[in-house]
Amino acid sequence: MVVADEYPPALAKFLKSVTSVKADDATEILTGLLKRREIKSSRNVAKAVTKLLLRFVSQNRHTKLSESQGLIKDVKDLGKTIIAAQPRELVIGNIVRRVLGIIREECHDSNPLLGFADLPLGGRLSRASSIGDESADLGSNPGSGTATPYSGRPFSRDGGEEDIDAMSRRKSKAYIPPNPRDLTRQGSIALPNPNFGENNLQHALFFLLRLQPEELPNDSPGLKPQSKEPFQDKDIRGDVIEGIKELMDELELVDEQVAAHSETHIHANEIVMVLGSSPTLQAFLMKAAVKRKFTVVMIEAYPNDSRATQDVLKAPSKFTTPTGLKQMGKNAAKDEPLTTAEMKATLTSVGVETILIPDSAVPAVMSRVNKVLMGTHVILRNGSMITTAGARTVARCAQEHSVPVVVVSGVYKLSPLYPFDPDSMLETGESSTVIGWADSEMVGNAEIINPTMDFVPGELVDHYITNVGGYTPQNLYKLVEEQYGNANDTLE
Amino acid sequence: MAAVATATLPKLEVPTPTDGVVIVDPSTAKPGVVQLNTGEFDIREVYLTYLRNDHDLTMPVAAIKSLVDLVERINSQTTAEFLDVLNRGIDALKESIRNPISLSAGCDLFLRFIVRFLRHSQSMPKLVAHLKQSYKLFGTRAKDSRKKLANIGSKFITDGCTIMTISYSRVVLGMMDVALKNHIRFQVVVTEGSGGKRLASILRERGVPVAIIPEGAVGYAMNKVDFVLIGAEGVVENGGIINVLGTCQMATLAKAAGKSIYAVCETHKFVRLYPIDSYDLPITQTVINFSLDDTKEQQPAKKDTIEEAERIGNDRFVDFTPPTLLTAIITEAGVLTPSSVSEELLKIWF
Amino acid sequence: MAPTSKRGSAKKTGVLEEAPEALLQAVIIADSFNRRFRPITLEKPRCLLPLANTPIIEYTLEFLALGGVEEILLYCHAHHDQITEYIRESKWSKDSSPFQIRVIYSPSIMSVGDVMRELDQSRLIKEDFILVSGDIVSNIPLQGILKEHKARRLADKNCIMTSVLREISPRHDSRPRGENALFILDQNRERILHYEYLKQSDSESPMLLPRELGKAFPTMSFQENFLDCCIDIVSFEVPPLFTENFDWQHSRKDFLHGILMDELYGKTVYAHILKSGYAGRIQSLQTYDAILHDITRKWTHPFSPDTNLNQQTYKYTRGHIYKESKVILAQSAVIKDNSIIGSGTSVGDKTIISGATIGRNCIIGKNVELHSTIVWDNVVIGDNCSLGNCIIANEAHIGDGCTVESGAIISFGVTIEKGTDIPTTARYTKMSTKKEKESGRFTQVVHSKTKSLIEYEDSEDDEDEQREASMGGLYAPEDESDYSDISDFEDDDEIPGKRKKGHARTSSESEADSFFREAYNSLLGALKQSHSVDIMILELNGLRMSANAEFSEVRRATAAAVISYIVSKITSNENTSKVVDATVEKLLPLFNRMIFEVNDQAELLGYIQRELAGKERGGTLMQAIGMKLYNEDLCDDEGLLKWWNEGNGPQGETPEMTKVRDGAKAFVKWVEEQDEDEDSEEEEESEEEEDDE
Repeated sequence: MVVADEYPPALAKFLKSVTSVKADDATEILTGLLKRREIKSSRNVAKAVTKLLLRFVSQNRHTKLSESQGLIKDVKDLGKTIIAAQPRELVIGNIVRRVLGIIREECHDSNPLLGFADLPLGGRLSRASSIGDESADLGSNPGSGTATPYSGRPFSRDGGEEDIDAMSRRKSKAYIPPNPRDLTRQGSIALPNPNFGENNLQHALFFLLRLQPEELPNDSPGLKPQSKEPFQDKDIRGDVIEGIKELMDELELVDEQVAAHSETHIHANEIVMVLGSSPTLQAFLMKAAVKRKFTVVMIEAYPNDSRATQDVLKAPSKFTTPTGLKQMGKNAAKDEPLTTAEMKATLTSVGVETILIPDSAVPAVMSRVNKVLMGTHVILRNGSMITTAGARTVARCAQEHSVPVVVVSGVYKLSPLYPFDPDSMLETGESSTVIGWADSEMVGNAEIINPTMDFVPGELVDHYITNVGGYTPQNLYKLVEEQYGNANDTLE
Repeated sequence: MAAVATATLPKLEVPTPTDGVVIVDPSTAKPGVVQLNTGEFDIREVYLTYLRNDHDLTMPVAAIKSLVDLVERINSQTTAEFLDVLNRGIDALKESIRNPISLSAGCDLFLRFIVRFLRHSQSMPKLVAHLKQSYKLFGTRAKDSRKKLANIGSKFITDGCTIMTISYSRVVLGMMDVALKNHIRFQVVVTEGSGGKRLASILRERGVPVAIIPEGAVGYAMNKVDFVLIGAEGVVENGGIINVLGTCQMATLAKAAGKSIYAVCETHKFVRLYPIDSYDLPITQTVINFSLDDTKEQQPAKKDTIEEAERIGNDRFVDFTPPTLLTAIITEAGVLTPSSVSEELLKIWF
Repeated sequence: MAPTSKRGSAKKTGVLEEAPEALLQAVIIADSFNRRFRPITLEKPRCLLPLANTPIIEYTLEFLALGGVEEILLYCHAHHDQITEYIRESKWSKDSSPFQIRVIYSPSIMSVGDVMRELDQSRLIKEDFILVSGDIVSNIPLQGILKEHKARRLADKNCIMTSVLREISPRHDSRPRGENALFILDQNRERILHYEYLKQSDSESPMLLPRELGKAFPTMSFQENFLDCCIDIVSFEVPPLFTENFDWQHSRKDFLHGILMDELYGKTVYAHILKSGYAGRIQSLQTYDAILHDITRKWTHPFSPDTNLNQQTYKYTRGHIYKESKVILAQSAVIKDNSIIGSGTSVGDKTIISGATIGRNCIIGKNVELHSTIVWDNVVIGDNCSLGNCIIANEAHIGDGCTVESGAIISFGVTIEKGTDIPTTARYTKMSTKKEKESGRFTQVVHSKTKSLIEYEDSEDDEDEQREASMGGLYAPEDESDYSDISDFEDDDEIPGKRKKGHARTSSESEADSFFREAYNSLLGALKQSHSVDIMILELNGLRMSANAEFSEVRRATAAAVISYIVSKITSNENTSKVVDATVEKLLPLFNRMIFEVNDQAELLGYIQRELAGKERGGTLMQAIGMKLYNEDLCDDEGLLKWWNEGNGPQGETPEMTKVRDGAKAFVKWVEEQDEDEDSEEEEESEEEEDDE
């Protein structure tokens, strides 16, 4: 694992304590930490939540395949609790949904018939909705493996081609339900609706003419669960834990994976304007600096991020993942341990010319910039993002000058939510960062508002670089589907 | 009006198997009448009757219902024959209605479904049986979709917002209803034409302040609204929408003012068209009428005073709003960007 | 961790440097020891009152959790049962709580000093700890301050405290009115060299500084512009100091001032002047309002309503408007900036809410105007009302068409009849305490047939306090505010009925009588058994505080006891002056503690006179005692003459008393003459007089 020093104290303490307390207590502890904003950045929040979920799953009383419903429900409830603690930290929902996906995938792998049993599938769904009773979710019966004959793939007949498509698109660790087009109907209010996608849309389209379960073709495999080999109630906990650990690894490796794309995006002698201080961004720049000579124009991001931004320039880089470090230095090719000097490398020390400008200078400098590079707090399904305050101005300015805006981010920051009310997703920070509280003239006479986040609509972003590849804002919905499938878990 | 009874009570006796289809000279055929070997079937009348009898029914659903009626009367042995009759029925319906865009969505969907069903070697009797069985569900399912859509869309309506909309749209009204139920306060600016007044009076009755503005004031009022919410008769394959005349203008002005434009539409209104502009639409409407004669000035009243025509929606002018003007399309399948709608629709149809 | 142990070797960066062996402790004093929130605090302790719809104590606890505190000792007195209950039910008592919390109730604690003495006895404190009151709102991370404190402790063993201060401009809204203090800091503005509580009334009186100060610190910074956050990092050596100085009550006026004045202690106190972050203490209604103002405007982030500290569902919208879910607003209701509305509240048509805080399940009528109003839970406000910056407590009911001016307080469950205009100074409550009824401080105001209301008129306290404590539009200019030196002693604790379990007494007996009897007995007993004066002071103090007696009562009791004692001792004419001298000399410290100004002197003399009435040799004794008091500087010309001229107050004089008074005539005449020609040597003269006797 990674050295504890990398974490802020609150997170380090939490990660340390989480293994020694009951999962419920750990949840409350995390809730408190989130409320007090002791854990803030999306990465740290993601790590804490993943660790908590690991603990939670390993302590949950539901371990068997047949009990997966219970496990899923418990994880959902846990998710709701943590999200309620910090609703603007959308990454919590992402992680919880990923873990739900892991559980469902394990269920499906263990027993295709039972897989995704909690999601109303195919015929069962049609029937439920056909009688206008949304609650008739047979999947909620415990041990539904044998009880719900339609929970398999009753629609392989008219949905066969999509299934194959879906399978063929199955990449990396993303999971795709075998028959996700039927998932739309889940929950009476399918909101926020992450399950857009061809399958989903197709489902919606043909929903009107959908077959009813009674008339399922007799030769459908889903109708004959009895004919299958006897149902085996496997213990899935181990696999789920394994999956969560993989997720944790993903969080550790994100920077490095994103940074791998840097060479194709930063070219020699380019002038790159940079906003934000995220470790991903730093790693990206550091990696590029190994091969390229370029100029970085840092935006100060006053007042909330100015200190962090300056730290990027002067403090040791946080790009300290073991492999990342190895690749960073000049001796990257050789497998030598890194020297202290290299660990302390800053942008300037690796030969990048850095210029720090105040936010107000962005328009003036923009015309000379080749590219704008940003980190982000969270990416939303419609291609918009929530990030450091001031980003919208920068992006808008870049658009005016036709300068491409590139955003680097781990895929864990991609949220399946739709920004219905972007304002409500933005955090407003301490007013005292803007103006000293002691200044009674100001405090008494002016309203001070300090949003720490900015909502940047998708049309202002040209490209997202994630650890699973590059996407345009318009195509992000595909990535959303890959990451979260069509499981439409309402957690907020 | 003979078909009224059959429309409401779909228990037709099983057609006796005879020798295929009677070929009729199209020139002599009445508009909207399909010649079957079992006799004539006035699909237009059936369709209009459905719409008249159920005010909540949307045009595509009415079209599907009419087609099911038609299918039940076809007693052909071969798939080709079956499809041929079906296609003729669809054509007859489309041709007999002045603005068939919305209903054609239903027709296309139906046809596509039949094709898929049959492709999986299911016999026609099964198909007919299935359709018969689901017959009654179409309406409820369509309403379910609208309800769900309203729930999704109502999230856009935040407390204290001002919405601009055009004409009367059931889905838009449904969204506003949900918002009202959630104690969200909002006000509405609506253009006066095409049922705008109707919407206004309904909303005002429910306690929503509404401003009715002339079409010419859209640009003037735009700065005072938070976003634009419009219904759509149809969503086309490029992600654009077809809606009442004036929509394109409103969207253009909204875009210019930097306001979001959300189109609201159930997925069964997705149409298999790929228009580039308003003149590509498969309808004839003489909006632009060059003339030297004062007396031949067009009567605008014709299109929006007749209440029924308005409801049925086949007698009003429409225009096409290109996808670039739209922020998002709200459907029961979620909030989609126009480009994703386009991409996915193309995948389905082709 | 002992301050000297290996700080540098701590492995972790940040939070809790002190390794597992030493817990970071905090002491919360959940009692204000004053009555500024009356009459609300008759029913609920201050720390449980809602501030932005979250109990005040939550802010303090969250702040301490943020600071990485691991153990909390919460001392409470008034309404201790409510506090105990609240803490027990809260998340802080669960296993997941970041700290262990222990609620300690002691009937004897009447001041901060008492808590510290209690703390010393309890031996619960092992290390340096954080001392706060239960009404702190702050978001500053304590870790850095703790670190600094530790470093200082290493460098300077005599450092016993670090106080957190904020600079604030004099006109700042959040500056507590009437709480002015002068801090003298060293050149680097780190060390506090002197603390002086500033009384507005005698601002001309000279301030005494330790003589050495000027020599040791040629450059000093005199600052009055501090907001004292009342957040202290206190060394474990401090509680014993309080035990040593059993009369220290206040942590600033007594302790800080005392420890710095007296060089014998050789202790040093440091200041941490905040550069960023928020810290404030709810000391009064004015600061309550000011801090609420700051919370709404996100100065205290993350401790703002939308953090939902107490399981709420607040959402933040632009303009600092916080709304919980399930708020029902009429279409035409207007919510302006800086408002907070709790769940289940409904607001009628055309109602304007601007800058108001509204709790849960309130019903606000039509056409109501709420400007900066603070409304707690389950309140009903009728149509066409207009409310200013006032507090409407839970379950209150305001009828249609009422006007409530800024500064008014409507306490729990009060019903205001429709069409009533409530003036600024009004305080309404349903609660009444026996004592207050008896002393006639409450006027019953019958507002309807069913409900009788009590208008709370806190006439006991000086009106400055009243004015200071009131809110909003009522902010008095600072110079009008005054804290008499005794206010802290005088201040009531917050329980009305707590004495029930105290000393037994008959129900017909008024509290004043009861106190008098007990104090008299105790003092007389002590005198007879020749206890040391310190013990007497202690006993008297305890009695006074537990009975909530006024100093006037103390003087009366003392006078009675002293006279009884003297009379019993005197056997012959000869030893009169001897007995008087001896007694008075012995009791000097006691007298010193009850006489503060001219009126007090006159009053004491009056009591003595009354006690002597009818006694044998009353006149002689009067003269002797008067002279002795005069000689010991307990009485001055003014006091004596005041007594002489004004007689014995409103009760008038009985013939016996007049007789007594006449006995002192010669002495008083002499004083009068002395007064006229001031150059004469007093001592000589007085001796002469004595001889004459």
